[in-house]
Amino acid sequence: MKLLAGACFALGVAFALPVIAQETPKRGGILVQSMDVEPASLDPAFGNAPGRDRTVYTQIFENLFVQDEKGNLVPQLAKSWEIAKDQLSITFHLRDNVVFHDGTPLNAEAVAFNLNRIVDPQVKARARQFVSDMKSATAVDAMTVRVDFTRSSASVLSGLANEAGMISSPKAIQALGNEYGRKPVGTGPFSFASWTSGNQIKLQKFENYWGRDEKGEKLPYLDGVTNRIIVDTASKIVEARAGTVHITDAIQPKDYAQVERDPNLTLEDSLASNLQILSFNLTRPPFDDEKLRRAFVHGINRALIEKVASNGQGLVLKGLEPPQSPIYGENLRDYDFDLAKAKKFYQESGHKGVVKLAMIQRDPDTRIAQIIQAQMGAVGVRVEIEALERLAWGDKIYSHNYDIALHRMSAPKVDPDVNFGAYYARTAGANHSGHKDETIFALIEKGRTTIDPAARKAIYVEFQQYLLDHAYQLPLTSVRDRGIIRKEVAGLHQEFSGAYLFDRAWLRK
Amino acid sequence: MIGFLIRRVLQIVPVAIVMCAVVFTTAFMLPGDPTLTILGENAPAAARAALRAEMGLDRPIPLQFIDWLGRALTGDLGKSFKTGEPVMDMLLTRIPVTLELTILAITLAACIGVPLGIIAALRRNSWVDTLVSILSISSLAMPFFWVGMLLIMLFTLRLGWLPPSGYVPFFEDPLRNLQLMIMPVMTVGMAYAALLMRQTRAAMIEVLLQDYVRTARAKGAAEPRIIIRHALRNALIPVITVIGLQFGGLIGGAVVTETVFALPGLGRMITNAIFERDYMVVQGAILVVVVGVILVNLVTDITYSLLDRRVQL
Repeated sequence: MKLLAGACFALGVAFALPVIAQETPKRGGILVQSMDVEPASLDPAFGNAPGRDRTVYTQIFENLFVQDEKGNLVPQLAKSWEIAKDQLSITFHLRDNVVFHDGTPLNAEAVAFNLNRIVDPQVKARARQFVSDMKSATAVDAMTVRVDFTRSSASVLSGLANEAGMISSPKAIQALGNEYGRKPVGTGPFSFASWTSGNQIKLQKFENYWGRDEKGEKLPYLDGVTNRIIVDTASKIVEARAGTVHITDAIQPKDYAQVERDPNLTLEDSLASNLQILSFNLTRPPFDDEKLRRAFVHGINRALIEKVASNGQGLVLKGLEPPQSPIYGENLRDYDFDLAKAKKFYQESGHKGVVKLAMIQRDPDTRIAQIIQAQMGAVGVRVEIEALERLAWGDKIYSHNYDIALHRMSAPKVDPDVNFGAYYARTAGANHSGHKDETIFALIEKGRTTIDPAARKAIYVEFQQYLLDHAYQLPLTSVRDRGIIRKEVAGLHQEFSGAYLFDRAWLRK
Repeated sequence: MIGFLIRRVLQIVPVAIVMCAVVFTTAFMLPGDPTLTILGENAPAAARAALRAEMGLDRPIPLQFIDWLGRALTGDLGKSFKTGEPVMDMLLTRIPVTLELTILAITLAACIGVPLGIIAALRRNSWVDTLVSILSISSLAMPFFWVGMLLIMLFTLRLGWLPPSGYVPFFEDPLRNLQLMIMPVMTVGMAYAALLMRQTRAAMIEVLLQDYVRTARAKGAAEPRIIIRHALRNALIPVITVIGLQFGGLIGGAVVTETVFALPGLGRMITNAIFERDYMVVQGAILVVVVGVILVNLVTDITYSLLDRRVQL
C-alpha cells in the first residue's frame, strides 16, 4: 500500500483554514457556496470540468480512497486495500454498514458495477480517460472487490481517487437511465434535493451517513448545502459581504483588497494556479521555424505582463507548473527578455508580414494580447489580435488554423497526467501547438507509467525543459486562485482537487 | 374582432417557423463545435467526431431543422446538449422568472413614467418639466449593470435591507421572492419609466393642443376630466406601443440584469446556450420569445381598439 500511496504526489502547501480545534461544533444551518461553472451533469462519470465539478460531487459521492490535501491516498469507502506484487491489481476491503441515499447497501457488487461502467466503451463515460489503464473490477466476496489494471500506472490511482472512482447507487443508475445525471444518488454526507439550471443545486443532510466525528457523533453537522451558480465576480463578492454566500470560488486579483478590508471575510489560497501560456502553431509556416519562435520568446517581457495582468499578485511562469506543484522544476532554464537577441532571431527567420494572435475575449487575456502586440512591435513584428468568443477560438486552435494563441491552464491537477495527457500525449485532445515530437510522446507515456514519485518528477521536469528548449510554447504567468470564506464557517477541510469537504463543516452563527 | 383574433393567432405559426429557421441556420453557421462544451476541451478529437456523428450534427442543416420542427410540433423541444435536461423543463423554470421581472418592471415603469410624463406636459417649460427631463435622461443614460451595482451597494451593503441576488420561486417563498425581485425590477423599471415619461410627455403636449381639448375646456368641463378623459386617453396610444415594444424586448433581453442579480431567466439561458452552441436550447427559447412577442403585439393591438373606438380590428 505504501508504494502506491506514495505514488500520488504530495503538495507542501500550508492551509490557513478557519478551524479552531477547541470549539464545539454547532449543528444545523445551510452552508451556501457559489460557483461560476455549472456542472454539465451530476453523474461523476459525465462531468466535463475535471476538478471543478468536484466542488459539488464530493458532497454527494465518495470513492474507495481519496487524495487528502497533500495528495496522499486515504481510505474512504474502503477500509483497507492490498496491492498485488505485480502491481496489476488492487484488492479493496469495503467499509461495513454504508448505505446509498436511496437505502440500498454499499457492497462489492455495487462497486464493481460502477467501475465496470466507467471503462465500458458502450457507456462512453467522459471520466474514462482518467482510468484508461483500468481493465475491470470483480466482486470477490460480499465486501471485497478486486480491480485489475492493464499495466502498472500511477495516474490510474488518482483517477480512482477522483471523478472516475466515485460510487453511485447501481439501482438509481439502472432505474433512471439518462436522467441519472440530474438525480444523483451516492453515499456522501449530503443527498440531492433539487437542481434548477442556472440557479442552484440544493443538497440536504443524509441522515444515515456512516461518518462519525472524534466523539463518535453523527456527521454531517450542517442541515444542507446550497451551491449557487453566480457568474459575475462583483455579485459573488457582494453576496459574501452580505453573508448570503459563505464560500466563493476564485475572484480576480483586482478585488483582493476590498475582501481583505472586510472583517467578516478571509481570502483563501486555493491549491491551483491559473497559468497563461502562448502557443505557437508548429503544424504550418511560419511558426514551424524555431528562429521565429525564438524571436517571440526573447522579445516578450513576461515580468511586465505579470504586473499588468495580475496586479503583481502572480509570478512569471518558468515551466508548465506553478511553484506549489510537486513536479515544479526549480532549475528549469527558461528565456531571458532580450530585445537584441529577439531582433537577431527575427532577422534570421526571414519572416515578413503579419502574425495573427488568437485569443478568447476575456480578462486579463485582452490586456496580455495588447502587451504582446506592443512588445513584438518593438522587435519589428506586426501582430494582429483576433479576439474570439470561446468556442470560435476552440475551432481555430483544435483545427490548428492559427499562428499564435493565448490560452489558460489550471495546475497542478490531482495527477500531472490529467493536464499533460490531455495537452501533450499522442492521444491528446487539446494539443494546442500541434507538436508531433516523439520525444515528448515518450516522456508523457513514461511519466504516466512510472510509479516512484522522484523518478516521475524527473521525467516531467525533463519534459518541461525539452519543451522550453525547442520553444514550442511560451509559459507567461501564473496566479494562485483565491476565493472567499466567511469567518463563521468552521470545520472545513480540503482535498487534493481543491474542493472543500463539508462533512465536518459547521456554522458559528 | 373574433375574425381578427383567429387570423392573428394563425399568423403565429408561419412567423415562428420562419424565425426559427433563420435562428437555426445562423446558429449553425457560427464557428465552434458544441462537442467541445459537452466533452470538455481536453477530450480526444476522435471522441468529438464520434459524438458529432452520433448527435447527427454532421447532417445537412435543413434536414436537422426539419427533424427539430417535426418534434417541436408534437411538443418535444429536445434536450440540452450540455446537461441532457429537456428543453421544455428548462423553459418551464425560466419563463416564470422572466415574466415576473418583465411584468413588475413594466408596471413600475408605467406607474412612475406615465404620471410624471403628464405632469411634465401640463407644466411644460417650467422647472418641474426640466427636473423630470433631467431625471429621465440620466436614468436612460445609466447602464443596467451600473444601476444594479449601485442599488446593491445601497440596499444590501449599506442598509442591509435586501438580499443581494438570487431567485426563489414565488410559490415556494412569496416574501423572499419579492425581496429578491425588488432591485432587478427597479433596475429595469427605472430606465423604462424614463422612456415612458418622455413618450407620455410628448404625446400629451400634442393632444393638449388639439381642437377637441380646447372645445372641452370651452364647454366648461372640469380640468381633471379634460386631462384624463379627453387628453390622456388619446395620448396613451403611442405610450401603449412603447410598452408593448419594451415588453417584447424584455422577454429575452434582460440578460445584463439577470447576470448581475443571478436570476435564472430566459435571457441568460439564451446567451449561455449561444456561447455553448447548445442549439436545442437556443431554438426552444427563441420559439418562446417569438411567440411571446407576437402575443404581446396582439394584446397591444386589442388595447388600441379599446382606447380608440375608431380603430377597427
